[in-house]
Amino acid sequence: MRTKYSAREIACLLALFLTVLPPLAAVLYIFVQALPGISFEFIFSMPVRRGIEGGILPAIVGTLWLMFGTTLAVLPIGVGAGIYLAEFAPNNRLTRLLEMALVNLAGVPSVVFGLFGYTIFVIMLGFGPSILSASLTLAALTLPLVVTATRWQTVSTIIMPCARTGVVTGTLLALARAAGETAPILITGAAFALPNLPRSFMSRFMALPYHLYISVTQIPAMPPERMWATAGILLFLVLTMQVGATIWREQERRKKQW
Amino acid sequence: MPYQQRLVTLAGYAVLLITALIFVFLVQQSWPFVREHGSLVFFTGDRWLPVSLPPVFQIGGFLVSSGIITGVAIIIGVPFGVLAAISLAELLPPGVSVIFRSIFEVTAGIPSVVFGFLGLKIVAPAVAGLLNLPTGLTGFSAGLVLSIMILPTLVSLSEEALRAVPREYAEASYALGANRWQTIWRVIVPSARGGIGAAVFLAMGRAIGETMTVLMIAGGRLAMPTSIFDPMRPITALIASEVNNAARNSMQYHALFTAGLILFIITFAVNAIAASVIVGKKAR
Amino acid sequence: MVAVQDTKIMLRDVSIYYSALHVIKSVSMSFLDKEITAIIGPSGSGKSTLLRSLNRMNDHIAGMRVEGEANILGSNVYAPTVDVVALRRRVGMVFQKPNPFPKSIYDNVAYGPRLQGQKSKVELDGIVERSLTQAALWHEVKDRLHASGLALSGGQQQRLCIARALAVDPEVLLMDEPASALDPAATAKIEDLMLKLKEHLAVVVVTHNMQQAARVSDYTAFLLGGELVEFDITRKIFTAPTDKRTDDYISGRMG
Ligand SMILES: Nc1ncnc2c1ncn2[C@@H]1O[C@H](COP(=O)(O)OP(=O)(O)O)[C@@H](O)[C@H]1O
Ligand SMILES: [Mg+2]
Repeated sequence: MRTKYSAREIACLLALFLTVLPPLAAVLYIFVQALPGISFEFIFSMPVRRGIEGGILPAIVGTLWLMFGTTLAVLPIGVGAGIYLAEFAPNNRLTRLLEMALVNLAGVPSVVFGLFGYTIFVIMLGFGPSILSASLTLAALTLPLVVTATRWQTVSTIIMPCARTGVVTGTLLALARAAGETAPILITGAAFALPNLPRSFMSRFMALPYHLYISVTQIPAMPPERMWATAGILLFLVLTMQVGATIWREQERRKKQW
Repeated sequence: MPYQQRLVTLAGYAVLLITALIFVFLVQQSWPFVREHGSLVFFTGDRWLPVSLPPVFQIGGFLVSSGIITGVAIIIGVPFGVLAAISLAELLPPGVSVIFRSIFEVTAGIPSVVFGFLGLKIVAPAVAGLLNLPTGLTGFSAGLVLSIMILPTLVSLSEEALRAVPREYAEASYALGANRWQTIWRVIVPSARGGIGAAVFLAMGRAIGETMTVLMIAGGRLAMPTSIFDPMRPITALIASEVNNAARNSMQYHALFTAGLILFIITFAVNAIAASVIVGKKAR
Repeated sequence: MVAVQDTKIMLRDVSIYYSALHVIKSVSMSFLDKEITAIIGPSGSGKSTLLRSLNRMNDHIAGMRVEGEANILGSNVYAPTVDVVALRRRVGMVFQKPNPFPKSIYDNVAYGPRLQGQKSKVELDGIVERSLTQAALWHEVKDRLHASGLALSGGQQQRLCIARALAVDPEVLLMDEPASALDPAATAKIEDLMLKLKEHLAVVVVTHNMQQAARVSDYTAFLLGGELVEFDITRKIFTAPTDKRTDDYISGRMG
């Protein structure tokens, strides 16, 4: 069937193009600008003179730690709650309250998660400013993502094999968020420049988004190509997982349709 | 109950617990400030002098700034978002829609600090140049960037709402001699307005809570803004910029938590409106 | 004495395919003005397909193909030059499941005229009252024209849909099992209404309720497996069918 479009419909399609254009252009622009600054040394060496020279290895490694810690913390609760909602939750007031809590948790501002994580993890539980505190904070933030993804693909009778696709999607989305969030880690342990790689979950840490934020706003001497390169590496890391999540889901969807 | 079921039930309640805990801790940490300084002028005034003697804490200017920036984002974003959703749900063949939907899903993950960086480098200078302003770091610039950031939420939820409209309505419209656009505009969109409204509220909640972008490009001025082209500091930016410098358990520290509590309540209310539409629909 | 009647629709050797599936097999028949023609037949025999081909409601189905000549209101509807929108205004349709828009009663009825550019409040008020009166609904709803159409009962909703179709002054009204979702009382009202409507226009009704066909229609067509087995005056079909298969069907010996 061939489709012809009227003038108004073409205007409507134009609006669609205009909405996808800015983010696509942004991604492309950042990658192009980032290339000159990216080198073996930039990725694999320690920062020198507050990051104006040397590399950003601790920020990359710190972000990887955060991703790992967040996933470890969020998966059991997120997958469990997703299966519960899909399989066992009775149709009652408490379940609807839980649903409301889920939608609202997804809407809590990231900076509020920071305040929450600071109070409970850094202070009350005594984890101090550390990868542990930041990971647990990010786990609370990414919880709705994992719950929703798991629940969406959990289908009755055979729970685990089907839930797995949701878990993969949810995990990838959580990883992407853990890598990209700034506000929650700003209060729970991120540092701008550290001479060492983190040794344990109790270490303070550098992270790519926080490093970018400080470079851009507080280090006038920071060479621009280093900022673009940092942004490029961060974006690459995040988008890889976003693309993975999308491809994985589309494939599973197709498999189910046959 | 088998133990697996007991475990997942526990996990379900953990979600509820975490949401409740966020509220409880915000209240607990706000209490010292509220007890001593709680008054209406906290909301209406625009003086924020944390280190003067005595200190003054008023968040009116920050609330107005948050409102302005959110308003700009919604006014620019919603028309584009709804038209894009119409294209995906009603105009394009499914194969093409999937591609666009995937683009939205992927770009939804661009970190807000990256948007802030681009806003600082590209949008702010462009706004300053085009509108001949002394600085491009304004509420308008922040709202403009936010309008792009809320599009994935707007588009995907609006599209879902459009697709949920029963096909019988479209049939009736065609049978009365309507063409496709008339059917979309006069029947399908109005029938989906509940779901589209929920999408707008969720997007609004996201815009109010967005932190890094506004911290980096709204301009950061403390005073009450008088125009959308003023530099301004929304409530999220206030918290993010000061929380690391406030001495723990100082009055400033508790005042910042109070600001956080207010922010939480506002976003909670906005999201609850959206959630009641979404959850209410599922319950039926 | 035989009155001269307009033929509103004339089908000659019409065949309809869904891709490879041959659904309507060389059907020839005609539909007269101011008469009710019933199309009966078991489920899956192609009744809806035939009916929906008359106002081209199946156009959007990929793989759908029509052969033969369908002459409706004086022109071949499947000629490439036909204005589908104009055709649908002259050939109205009522569906099996009542499907009022989630709008007010008034806006439902005014939908068609507004599409044609009618903006005058006075005109629209008149059209709404006339259409609702013709659909025997006016007295039940005249005090709540701005209430939602979805708030009505099933039978009222179906009459609202009929009013909505009548508002654009069609010359033919196609009805696809219009009462099958309704209770007996509401069904009786729709049947009364059909008898009144045929004073003004041609009515084509698909039904698998044979009593209904016998009660209201002037002509009956029996469709089986896409083939037009018999087409005659209703009384003749139900008292003295010529084809054995028709006899089997109306006497309940066939599904
Ligand atoms: N959109 C379609 N695509 C393919 N086949 C269809 C479609 N609609 C109906 N059919 C087939 O055409 C035949 C006639 O259907 P229909 O006209 O709905 O019969 P009836 O209304 O008499 O029950 C059936 O075999 C049905 O499966
Ligand atoms: Mg049928």
